[in-house]
Amino acid sequence: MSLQYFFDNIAMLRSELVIAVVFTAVVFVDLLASKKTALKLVPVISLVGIIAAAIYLLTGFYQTAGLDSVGLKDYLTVEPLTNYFKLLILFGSTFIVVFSMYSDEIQAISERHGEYYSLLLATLFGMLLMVSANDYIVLYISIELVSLTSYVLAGSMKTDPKSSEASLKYLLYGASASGIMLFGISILYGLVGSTSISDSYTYFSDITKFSITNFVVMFFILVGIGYKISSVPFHFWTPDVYEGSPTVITAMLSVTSKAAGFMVLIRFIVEVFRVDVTSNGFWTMLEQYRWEQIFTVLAIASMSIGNFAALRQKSVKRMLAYSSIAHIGYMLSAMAVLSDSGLLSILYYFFFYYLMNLGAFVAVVYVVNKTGSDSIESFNGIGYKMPLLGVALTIFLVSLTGLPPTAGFIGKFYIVMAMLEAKMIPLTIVFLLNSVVALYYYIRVVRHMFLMRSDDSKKYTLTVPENGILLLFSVPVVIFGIYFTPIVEFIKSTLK
Amino acid sequence: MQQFPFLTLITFLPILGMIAVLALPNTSEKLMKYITIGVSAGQVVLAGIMWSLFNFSLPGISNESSLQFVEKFTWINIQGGSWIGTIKIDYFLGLDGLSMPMVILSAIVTLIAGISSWNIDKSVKGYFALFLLLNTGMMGVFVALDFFLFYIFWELMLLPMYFLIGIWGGKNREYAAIKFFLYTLFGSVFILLSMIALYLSTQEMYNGTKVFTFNLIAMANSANFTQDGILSMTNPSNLRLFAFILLFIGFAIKIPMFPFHTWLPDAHVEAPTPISVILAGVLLKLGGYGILRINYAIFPDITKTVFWWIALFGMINIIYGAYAAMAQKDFKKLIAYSSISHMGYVLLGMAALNTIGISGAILQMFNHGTITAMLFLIVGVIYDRAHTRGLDEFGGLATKMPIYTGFVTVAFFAAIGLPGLSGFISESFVFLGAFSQDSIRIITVISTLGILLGAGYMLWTMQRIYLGPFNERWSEFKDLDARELLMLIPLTAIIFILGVNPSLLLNMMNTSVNAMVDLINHSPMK
Repeated sequence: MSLQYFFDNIAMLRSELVIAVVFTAVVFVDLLASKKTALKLVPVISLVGIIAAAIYLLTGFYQTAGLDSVGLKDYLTVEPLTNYFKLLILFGSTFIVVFSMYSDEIQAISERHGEYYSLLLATLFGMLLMVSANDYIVLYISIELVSLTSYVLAGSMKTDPKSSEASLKYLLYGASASGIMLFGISILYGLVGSTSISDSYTYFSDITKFSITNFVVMFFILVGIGYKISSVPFHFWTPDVYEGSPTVITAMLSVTSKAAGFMVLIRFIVEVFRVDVTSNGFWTMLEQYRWEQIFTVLAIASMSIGNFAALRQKSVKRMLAYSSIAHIGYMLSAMAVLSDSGLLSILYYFFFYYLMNLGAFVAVVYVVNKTGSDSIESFNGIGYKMPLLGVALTIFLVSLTGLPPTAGFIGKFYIVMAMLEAKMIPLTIVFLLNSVVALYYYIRVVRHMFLMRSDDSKKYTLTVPENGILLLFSVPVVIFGIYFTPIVEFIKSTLK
Repeated sequence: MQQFPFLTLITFLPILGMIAVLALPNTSEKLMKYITIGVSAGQVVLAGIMWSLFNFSLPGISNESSLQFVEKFTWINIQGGSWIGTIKIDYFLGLDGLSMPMVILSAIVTLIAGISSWNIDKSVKGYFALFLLLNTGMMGVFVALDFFLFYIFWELMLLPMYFLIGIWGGKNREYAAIKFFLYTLFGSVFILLSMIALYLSTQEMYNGTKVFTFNLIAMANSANFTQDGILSMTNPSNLRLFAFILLFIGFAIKIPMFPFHTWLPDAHVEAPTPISVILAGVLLKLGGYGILRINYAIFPDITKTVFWWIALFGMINIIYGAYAAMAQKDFKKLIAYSSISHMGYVLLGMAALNTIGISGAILQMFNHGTITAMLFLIVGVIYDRAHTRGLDEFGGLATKMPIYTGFVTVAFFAAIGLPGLSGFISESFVFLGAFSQDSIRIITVISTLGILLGAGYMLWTMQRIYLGPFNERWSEFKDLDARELLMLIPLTAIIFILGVNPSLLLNMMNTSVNAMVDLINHSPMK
């Protein structure tokens, strides 16, 4: 193995390499620098490093030439589509770091900042690898890397029993889910004789080898992925973990790690079960594996259970946890279409979901900072105490509901369009009725912010950068709701 | 032809006003009120100018070249290599005989509601900002001719309305606000579904190629439907009927039609007076307008098969609303139920499928808008003074407030349908039209009972509140002040003028209504 081989492959690992370097830098700074300098330096290094990784990724965003000749392609896939997901993850992580700098929960554990940020970067590294993985072993290792670091991050407020509980629950569920997935992978290896994801297509498409074992393998791997994206019925960990973790980590779990998980799902379906794409963009699938039905059931279950469970929550973080299950359900219903337009609509939705969900979480971070609680009562009268936050959070929640003129509506609009192109009318109706259910609990927060007055007369003020972050999310949510041409065209260009 | 952008101005003037209101410091409350009223007055002037320029002989409806004040620009156009993910949305505004009366109504009612908002004193800035946003939404729905744009305006109204009821409303305001929101959203998701299905079934020419379109006017032309679309004319399954029903439910919730009406009494009772005026005067009309513009014009073939059901629901609305009104103890709730009853005439008139009936329905929408706005102002007048609305708590107010009672008499008799006042014309048109449609003749005959019941509850209310022995509890009541006169006089004038000379409006809509009746008559029978 020559040095040349290494240099040839750098292009495939652009952002991963940068993150690995930043990770090492953070570890060393934390060890060597004095406590005070480290406290200041570590978040800045992380932030700059993630932005640098994103820029480096963008320089070779559409590059595919030259990547076919090298050996790493058996393990990793690099194409505009994966780069798009990496960009999303880097974008999300940038703000996770920024939010951490403004979160009192994270500031309170400043003596462990070194490990907090290095774990954050390790998770990020794992997610980037997950997106590219084209080999079951790489996939499994990257999922484990993300999971193990997330367990620790969820418990990073170790003096808070809820945080420790979240960490332990997450660990138990995660260990079982990845154990089942690994079991599935090992059976598959026995059947196929290769760990490459693309190779298993040959096996699955062979009608003579069609057996119940195939379904078992398929189901086991789906358990691992389903747990990662917290789709019903693999969602049971989500509410407790989301509630107990620091709010910033909840935001990370509900956006960046969902994107990584979804890309794995897309890769698994496209590589293993897709035969061909017809001229009008519909996918011809291996019919015997019934993915359309599986996705329809998963989607309806995730949407409905997520939304109905969210109705009665007292904790806003828990409510957002259930709502994220519902949003995964929306995207799974686009997956059920099994067409290019369905896939595109998922890509659009993810971007808009990032904006509105991260925005909603940062608003919740601020409220938790000020009131010390995330119960819905602590939002009483917030709209009058912090008007900008009230208006911004209203915009995010309206967008999460999917009302125009916000980005969330455009996301839903495209999913409905993809479903109607395939004439899936019953699923569309379930999808739309779910939006109506969702309105009730999202608007409940708005009700507490504006329609109710709080008992005390405490005054809260946000600093200029804090307000700036809110505007950074809320303004695009409205603008993309009115004019979405540039972003949609960019995302379209990632899918050739 | 590049002309003065009347419609953009009339639609977005309130947004400019909203920005101004938001930019003002919290202390300059007077200025905010002047801005709001100024914006609405500007809209009335613009509507008046458009009326004077309006050409009565152009039909519109399904013929794009005969629309007036058209503004059409490409708004979102995503094309690209493959057809997947391509989309084209236009910024397309225009008027025809269907929307012109509604624009005038909307401008007038909003102005009156703006004046009526004068004594709002809680979070003034927020109130007027939301009020102006609501104004843009309402105006936008009437002038938008691209379905996507229409839908955005349609939904834009929900959030301001939720806050306006929820923050400035009465005791039970939160319940009423969320109920309004959920009901309307329930309807709008159905509209969204049908909208996208229609988009995927209609194409028009753009730069020499056929592209899918949201153009409502193009959709009204059956030649533009694709052969294999979900809602194409030749589709053997009943999907067209299904889409019609979904759209109809979406709009019927706004009207509100039985059994989707239960949000209305709650919303009306809890909303502050100006918002009740807007709700009754404009928002309910959006439903009727939507049915005519979208259900009737785009699905004439289905309309021809289901009109009997529309008439039936109209009848239920008329009778049920009237009986429910009779049972009320709260003045405002009584007016709310009478609204349901009067909107039933709109449904009945539409179901006639002839020029007289549909013209009657549109006229009834306009008249109901002005008369009910006045009735809610009348309730507001005594509620401001007494802070109660119980029908049994008053009596003999006529002796104490003679001028007020004069206006009340005009409004009540207009609602009953006394000849010489505007309500009479529209109701008789509705009945004339519906009676000449053979298959709904019996429904029409039963519906006439509504007039009798209407007279019953209106006169009974008159007697309980304004006649009889004076209740000494209210001895400090003063008669109307200048601001209240300013609101009631124009509405009274409209009621008299349209009662004597309805052709002012009828001429405006005549050509368009004829075109729509033609469209329905010439559509293929299923």
